[in-house]
Amino acid sequence: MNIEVLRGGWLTTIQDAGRKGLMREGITRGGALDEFALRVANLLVGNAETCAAFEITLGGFIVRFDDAALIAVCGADFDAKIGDANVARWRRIYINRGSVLSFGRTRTGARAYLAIGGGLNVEQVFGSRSAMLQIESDELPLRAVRDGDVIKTDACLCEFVSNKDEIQTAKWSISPSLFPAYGEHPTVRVTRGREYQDFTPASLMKLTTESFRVGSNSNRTGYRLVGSPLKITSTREMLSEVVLPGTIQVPPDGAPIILLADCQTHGGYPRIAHVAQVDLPVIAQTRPGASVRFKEISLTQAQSLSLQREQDLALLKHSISFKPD
Amino acid sequence: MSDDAHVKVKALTNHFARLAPQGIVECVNSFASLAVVYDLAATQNHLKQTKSSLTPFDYIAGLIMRGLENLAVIETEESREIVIPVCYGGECGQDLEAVARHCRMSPDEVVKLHAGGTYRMLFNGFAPGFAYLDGLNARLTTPRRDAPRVRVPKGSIGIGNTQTGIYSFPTPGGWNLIGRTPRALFDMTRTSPSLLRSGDTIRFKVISNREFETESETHAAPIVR
Repeated sequence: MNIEVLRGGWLTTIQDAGRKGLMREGITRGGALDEFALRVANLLVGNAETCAAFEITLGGFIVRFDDAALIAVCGADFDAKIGDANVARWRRIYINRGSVLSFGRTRTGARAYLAIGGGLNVEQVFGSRSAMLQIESDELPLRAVRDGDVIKTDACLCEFVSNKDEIQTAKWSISPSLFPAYGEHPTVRVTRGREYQDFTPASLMKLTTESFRVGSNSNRTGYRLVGSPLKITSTREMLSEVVLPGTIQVPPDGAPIILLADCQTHGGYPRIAHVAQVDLPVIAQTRPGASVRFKEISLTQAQSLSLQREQDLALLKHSISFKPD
Repeated sequence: MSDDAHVKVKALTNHFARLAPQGIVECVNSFASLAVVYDLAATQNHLKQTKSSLTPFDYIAGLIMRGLENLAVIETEESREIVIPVCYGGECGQDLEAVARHCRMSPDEVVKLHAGGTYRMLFNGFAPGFAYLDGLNARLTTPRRDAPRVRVPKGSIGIGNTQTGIYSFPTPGGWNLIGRTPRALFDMTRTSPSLLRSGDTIRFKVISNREFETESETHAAPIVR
């Protein structure tokens, strides 16, 4: 089945769970910025959780399906529609051949995930179907999706879909109690970084009491925050160290940077804190201009939250498998 | 940074890569440190199965400490000699004058010192093909920029404090840019995509702006399986 891209939108990329085990080659993880939304969207359409899907940033994306399909949209609300029909989020949806699905203006969040039953059939590069925007390749999946792209899926659902004109939306949905702590101006949980102690007591206080604004040049490599500068006690140049998505670096100008999925593997600015893994989706859903606050938690608490998230998703997968429609 | 520390760190990284313990996803080193990325749920499961009472963190930390104690003979790396053409200054090296001012010398002297050096490639990191080089003349030490650039021109040669290296892609970057090479540091059409490998000996050759324009390789990147 082919999906025809009528409009690529602001920034739409193909993402799965990213590349693992390649940091030694300088190849960064990449993958869906809101991994929770990706995994749930895939579960809803019966895919493996880490299947490739579309990551749609700030709307504008329009696609046409040349056959019936099972889809799910999770994450941001971009007023998704097929014709006049609203496409609800966090639900399993059957659509008919010829459906044109459009994502319009941003209502909440920053990134929506469109999963199609059967997954997106594009080449794997270094073991993953995620984009690698920094390589500036001319081929999918490495580059952004463009107007006119035709993308195959392995979906084969013809026998399950009725002949009704309207889309069919499942009556059940995902319980919001499972969601990450999404919010327009969220509080994000962090653990201390290696160079936490190098910062002045005043700056450490600011980290957890003040709010920081998401700057306009924030993107998949990192969110650049604007606020009261965070200073280290004595100037000291570091050798480059390993960094990961979630690491919060602070350059000498004092403006923190939250590194995200497309970040480099090494960096030499002091690491004041790390965003807890469970809250990375929260960052992924904030837009430039939003305020972010930080709350410190212990490593044990962070790990406990991660394990709970995995259990929740396992339970969700199990529950979904029992749903008849 | 001591040579000894870096050699140890590399040996430890290789040891882990070979051992491939349960649940470990990444083993990646920098100059004198090793980062181990592990799958929390997988490690937790493994510990449950072996009826261990350790936390995942303590278990992984224990593996690392034991690895350090049992470091075997360090392998020597194959060393190739590679010459990299560089156009210094002007649009190719926006920070050359600033580096010269900081180091209290003329831009020409900076170029002479940098291009005249012999460097050792330490490790890939930061981005595909990015090379961290050892051997920068101490007189050229220049602290990183106060705020990183959001986008560094591809092929830029940078100085970050005592380190020097070559940006393989237009990533964000905080180093001072003194020149630019037209060579592709990472090319997916090559069997070994990274141009430079750990252990290589690198030298720089000064080229003109015109030569830079002519030699710029087009970066076609068909999919490599």
